[in-house]
Order: sequence, then C-alpha cells, then structure tokens
Amino acid sequence: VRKVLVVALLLASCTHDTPQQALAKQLRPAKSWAASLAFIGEAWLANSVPSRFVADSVSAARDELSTDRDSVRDAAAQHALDDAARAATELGIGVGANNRREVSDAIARCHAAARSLAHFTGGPS
Amino acid sequence: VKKTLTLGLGIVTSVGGFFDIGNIATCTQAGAKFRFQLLWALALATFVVIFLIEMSGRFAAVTKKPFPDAIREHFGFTFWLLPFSVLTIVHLLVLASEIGGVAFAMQLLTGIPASAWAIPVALLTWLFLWRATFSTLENSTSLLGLLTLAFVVAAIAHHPPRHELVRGLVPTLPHHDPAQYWFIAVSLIGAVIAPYLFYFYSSGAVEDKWDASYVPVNRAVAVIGMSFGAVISAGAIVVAAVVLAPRGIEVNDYRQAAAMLTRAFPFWGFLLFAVSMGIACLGAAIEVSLSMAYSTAQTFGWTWGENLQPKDDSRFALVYTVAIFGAAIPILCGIDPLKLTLFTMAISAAVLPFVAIPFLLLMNDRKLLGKYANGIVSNAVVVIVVLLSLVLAVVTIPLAVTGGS
Repeated sequence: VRKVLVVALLLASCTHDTPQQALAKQLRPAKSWAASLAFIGEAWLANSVPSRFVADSVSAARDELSTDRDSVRDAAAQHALDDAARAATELGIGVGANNRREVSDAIARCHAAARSLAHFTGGPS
Repeated sequence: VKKTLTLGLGIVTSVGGFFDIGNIATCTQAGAKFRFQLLWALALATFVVIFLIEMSGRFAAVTKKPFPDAIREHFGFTFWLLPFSVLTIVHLLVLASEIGGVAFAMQLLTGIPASAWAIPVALLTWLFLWRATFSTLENSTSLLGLLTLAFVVAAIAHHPPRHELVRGLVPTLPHHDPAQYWFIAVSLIGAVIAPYLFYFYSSGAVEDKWDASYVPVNRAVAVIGMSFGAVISAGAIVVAAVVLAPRGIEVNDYRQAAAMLTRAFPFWGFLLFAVSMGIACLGAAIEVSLSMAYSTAQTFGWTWGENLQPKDDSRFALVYTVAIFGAAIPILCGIDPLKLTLFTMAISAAVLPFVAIPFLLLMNDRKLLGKYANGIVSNAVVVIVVLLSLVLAVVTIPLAVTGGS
C-alpha cells in the first residue's frame, strides 16, 4: 500500500497545468463569487435574505477577489477581477442604503463580471 | 408495541441522523459542480452504509456488546489500538466540522462570526450530553432533524428532469475537472459512511437493551431509515444542481449555498437552510461526541452509558467533555468550516479499512453470533466494502492534492 501511495503521490505532483489551465483554476472561485453575489442580490430584492447576510457575503467575496487580484499576472484577468470587486462593493452599498435601484444595477454588474471571468474559466456564467 | 415504537423512532433517528455537515458540504458541492452526475456515489455509499449499520446493530443485539468491546476482547488491545487511535483523530476532526456547521448556522442567523459561536456551541453540546439520557438525545435531535426534509420538498418543487436523475445513478466519467469530480465522489462516500455512525448505533442498541428478537427491527431501521436519509442528501444534490449549477455558482464557502432554498421557499428558504444546518450539525455533534466516549470507554474497559449519571461514569463523561472543547478550538481560531469538512470527509473515506476489516472478521464468528453470523450476500458486500475502502485509502491523498479546493 505504501508503494502505491508513493507512486500515486508522485503522479499527482507531476501533473502540470498549462498557464491557461492554471489561470482558469485560479479564477474559478472569483467567478463563482461574482455569480453568487448576483444570486444573493436577487434574493435580497425578493426579501428572501437579510441585509446582514448580503453584507457578510460581500465581505467574503471581496476577500477572495482581493487575494486573486494579488496573485494573478494576466492584465485582462486583473481587469475582470477589478470589475467584480467594484460590483461587490456597489452591491454592499446599495443593500446598506436599502436602495433597490442601486442593488439592481450592482446585480447586473455582478452578472457582467461573472461573464468576463467565465471567458477565462469556461462553464456557465 | 415496544418494537413498533422502536422501529418508528429508529427510522426517524436514521433520517435525522444521516444528514450532517459532511452531507451538506459534499452534496451541495456535487450538485453545484457536476449537477446530477454524482448521484451514483451517494447511492453506492447508501447501499454500503445500510449493510454496515445492519451488521453493527445485529452484532450488538445478538452479543449485547458494541463493536470496540468485541474487537478488544477478540483480537487483543494492541490489535485495536492503531485503528482506535486513527478513528479517534478522525472523529475529532468530524466533531470540529459539526461544531463549525452549527457555528456557521448561528452566523447566518445572527450575523455574528462563526468563530465567536465555537465555545457557546461546544457548551450547548456538552450540556445536552451532561443532562440528557440516551433516548432523550436520540429522539429530540432526530425529530428536529426532520426539518431537513425541506431539501426534499424543494427538490420536488423544482421538477428536476427525471431522465437526468436516473442517468446520474449510473457511474460516468466526468466531462471536466476529473480530479475534483473524484475528490468530491470520495468525500461524499466518506460523508455517508461515517465511522462514528457504527459505534454510535451499536452502543445505542446496547443502551436500549436490544436482544436477538430485535434483529428484524434492526434490519428495517437500517434499510428504511438510511434510505430516507439518503433521499434528503439527494434532495440537497438536486437543489444545488437546479439552483446553483446553472448560475455558475460553486460552493467554495457555505454562504454560497445559504440561499439555495429561497427559490422553492422565497420567504422561509434562508431560515430553513440555517436552522436545518444548525440542527443537523448539533445532532451529529452530539452523536460524534457520544461515539468517541463510547469507543474510548469500551476500548479501555471503563464503565460507560449515557443513561448513567456523569458521577457514575466519570471517565466516560471526561472523554466527551475534552473532545467537545478540544474540537471547538479550530473553529475558535477561525479555520474555514467548509475546508475543514471537505478535508475531514476525504480522510474519513481513507480510514474506512479500519472500520470494514474488523466487521468482516467479527461478523463471521459463529461462536459469537451463531445463526446470526454473516451469510454469503452480507460477506460479499463486506468484501466489496473492504476492497472499495482500500482503493479509497490509496487515492484519497493524491485526490486531495489535485482535486481539493
């Protein structure tokens, strides 16, 4: 068993991603967060989730986006991450101010950010 | 009448006890990432867990001994020491994940960070164990756990495509992210075949004073209860597949799953998710703590029993006290509950040989079990489980490296 484990570990450590695959993997959580914020914002508009939950989610999303922004080198990806972070901030401000119009706009921006990030990651946006 | 009541309560216990933080984490991830494609992993794990639960209950009913007690007596203390130590570490991780689940549910309900809830949740878990009897614990948390049926109702309300559901029950290769696919599959299996379940169930059978006449009841509880429990987990996969996957939402954080019931229940969905998660995890935290205390006391030959006063089995009470507060530390330190859970479920799958092999050996001991020893079908299943568990033990760590989030 030990030998098989060593071989499996070696195989696992030898699998190399292409730079595009590595970037896609890196941006996947950010894309997921942009899509999540759009969904959570829509739920807030439908009075289905409390404002404090949206604020908490925005804060968690911004942490993830900021971490990704620091580690990504691709300029287009950085731009997409900046858009997503801006949309997250606007969503938080809109919910904090109880401004439904602002929240609707922020949701549209979150969707757009998710679509931009999906160019790198693939999958639904 | 007593046996009918036992059957009813046993089924309710299984339904309520099946669904815990591991199921919430792995099922929502599976549905969000691979839609219905991993339903087969849940079906396989449920099939296996039905057999193992039935065997642990049958063993306890016939011999009036729980598993660790019998293993120690039959194979000696040194044989059992390694599996016991490994399983204790895994149980501690599972307990930390369950406490993290309750703490996160409290964060959803109050907005106060999960880390601040670690000690109050640990205290509540401990208080339940310190004050309540076995049947009170079993029945109250299980009845409340029925709230998790909200996932099944939501799944039905979404009208998932039946042909895709059926197709999901057949194992298929993933179209994308194979490492993550297999990692989630292994974690899902680890979440369902949780080792603590067997020790809890067999010790519970001894606490409830089962005898050989309970063997049919035990079989019905194992089959019906575990199947219903699996339906709740399938409900979580379906809701995540229908609500989260089309939006491109992957569950890398529990917050991303928290609104998934709001499409089916616009007003109550968020509250239902948080309360279901809190109750399911609290029930599981109590079961894991008890399971740790049971297996430790049985391993060292101490007096044990949740129906005894703590002063009468002080070492038993000390074990769950230390375990609960020790397990709260990672959550108190701010460790991400979801990452901890996924890691723990994968490790649970990796240690399955420690559970499955003693099953195979003891369930064939005709001196102990007489006519209740395993037949050909049960043995064939246990051999498959042993082989499966050996494969899982080997592949889990590389998968955690390549596919873990």
